[in-house]
Amino acid sequence: MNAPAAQLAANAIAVEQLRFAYKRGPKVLDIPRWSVPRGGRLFLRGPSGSGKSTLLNLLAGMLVAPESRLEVLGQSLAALGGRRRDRFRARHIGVVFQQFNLIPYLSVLDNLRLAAHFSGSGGDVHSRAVQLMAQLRLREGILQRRADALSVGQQQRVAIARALINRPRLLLVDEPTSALDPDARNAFVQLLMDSYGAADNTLVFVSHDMALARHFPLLTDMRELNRAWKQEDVDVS
Amino acid sequence: MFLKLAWRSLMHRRGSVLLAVVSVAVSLFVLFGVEQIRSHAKDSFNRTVSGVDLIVGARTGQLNLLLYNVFRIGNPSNNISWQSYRDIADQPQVAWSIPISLGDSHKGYRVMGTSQDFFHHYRYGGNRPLALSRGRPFADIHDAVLGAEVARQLGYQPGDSLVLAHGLGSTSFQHHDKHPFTVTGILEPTGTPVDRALYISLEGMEAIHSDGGGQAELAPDSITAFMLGLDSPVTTFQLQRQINEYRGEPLLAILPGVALSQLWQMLGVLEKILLLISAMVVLASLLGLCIMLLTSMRERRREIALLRTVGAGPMQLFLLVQMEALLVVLSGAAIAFVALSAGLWFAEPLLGEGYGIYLGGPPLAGQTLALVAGILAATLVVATVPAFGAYRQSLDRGLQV
Repeated sequence: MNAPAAQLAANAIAVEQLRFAYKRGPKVLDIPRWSVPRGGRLFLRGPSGSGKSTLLNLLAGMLVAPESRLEVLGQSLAALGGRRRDRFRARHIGVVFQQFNLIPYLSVLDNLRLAAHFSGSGGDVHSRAVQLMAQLRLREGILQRRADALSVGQQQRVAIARALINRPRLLLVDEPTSALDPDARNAFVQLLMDSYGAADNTLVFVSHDMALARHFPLLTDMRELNRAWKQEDVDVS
Repeated sequence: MFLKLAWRSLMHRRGSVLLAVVSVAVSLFVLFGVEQIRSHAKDSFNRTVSGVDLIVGARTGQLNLLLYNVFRIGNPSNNISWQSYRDIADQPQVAWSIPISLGDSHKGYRVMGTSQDFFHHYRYGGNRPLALSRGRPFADIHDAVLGAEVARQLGYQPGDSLVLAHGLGSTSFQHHDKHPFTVTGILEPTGTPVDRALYISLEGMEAIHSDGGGQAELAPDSITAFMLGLDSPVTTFQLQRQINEYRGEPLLAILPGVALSQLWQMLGVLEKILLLISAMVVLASLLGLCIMLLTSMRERRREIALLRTVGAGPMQLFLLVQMEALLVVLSGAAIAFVALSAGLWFAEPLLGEGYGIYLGGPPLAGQTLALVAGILAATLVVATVPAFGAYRQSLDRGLQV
């Protein structure tokens, strides 16, 4: 997956000399060169403390590594101001977490509306929401229910809908299946693949459950990618 | 969407939010209430009497004389003799005089014995004369004219009959049953203590306190006080000195305007202290709101991280917290306003009765609106602390919490 600098623009994620340390902390991330092609389906594995979360934060533009080269969908995140970076994330990057993907006191539809609101994209959120519910095999009536009234499995599927409402080009998924039983995990990943199937969509799936790796053509291990892990070998997450 | 988010977020924490709203409402109720009294009490005081140059009574304090003659509060110290009244009223400078005889009541409303001159010469609120809305002034011994409030509250019509009671309490055991009075007229409302009294002739007053006897004996021996109007205001101080040095008995003459402003000065300090205290109470409740929001920031870590994930900027989170604070304060203000309107509706008659203060007018006058604007500004300042907390939190933490 390592690519020469000239090819970086063709990649969904392109990284060169990415180094990051939290305030007054040791270096937690040191990636000399890494890229994920557009349309790639990547399984990213690594133990706790290997820098997975930090990398996701950097990819989503929540954290900034000033002196590194980090391009997402051809855009250098460090070059954007704070507000524009937030807008870029809202429009182009979907994120699904292990848990707490939804504002508990809002209805499912309002959660989707909120995500659409911050992206600044107008359009018919409702019909898009109905379409997503169908794709994710959820009943349409669930749109009106409060997020905290849903089962864990339903919540995770709605989380996909929330991440996909703005049709992102990059989807970051962080341990989304750890609260599910093994059967549901495979079904969940399959559903994710199906609903995010367009050829140009790039998916980064973080998990330590190797049983799921078979769904993904690309595999990266943080321990190989992150030099800081090799040097320090400390728990920093 | 943003407003909806703020509102739903508040509703989600409705227990603590409700307490914050109540605390803000109580403090604003106090502040608005003080402001209402402040702005209207002064008007009400100053409009009570006008066009009267001197008030004369037995020697007592200046304010006491003013209070019982104009505001019908407190008790007269001593009566003055009819002879003294006639002596002074016949002075050449005097244009007119109104004798006042107090001491009886009817169902809690004071009765004032006076002469026809009261209707002709008494002025209130910028030189406006009294007028009868119905009927005519008293002519006979047992005729009575009612203030507008008395007639309204007790439901009297001209022609009705009523019995006066000795003393000033609302319940009296000594009724002047032998001397029923007939309502002959009802005064127009004035918004002053005039509305809250009954007016009978001095002869009527004398009749109910004597054991009967003929008309000739009904000339009063003494009265409580009297008001004077002079031909020229220049002579006011001269006559005042004359009265204060009157040899027949110790008398006191006061200028109502001077006494009113003296009274207002005393109340004015109190009023400023009250305003200060209520402003402090509001500040305390705003700080309470700030604490509530600040504490909630801890439990909303995940919520904030999630909002950041879907693209909310730190500034938007700052504004979200500010909006929540504003919503709480506006809800509190709305409740306080409704409570104040209801409170005024109940308290107004009591204040009028007890203190001669009439709080007419809408509760949201211009100055109150300025006050509300000030409070909202203070809210924004105070809410900066938790809002900045949200701002910092959103920058320091990433997607994961």
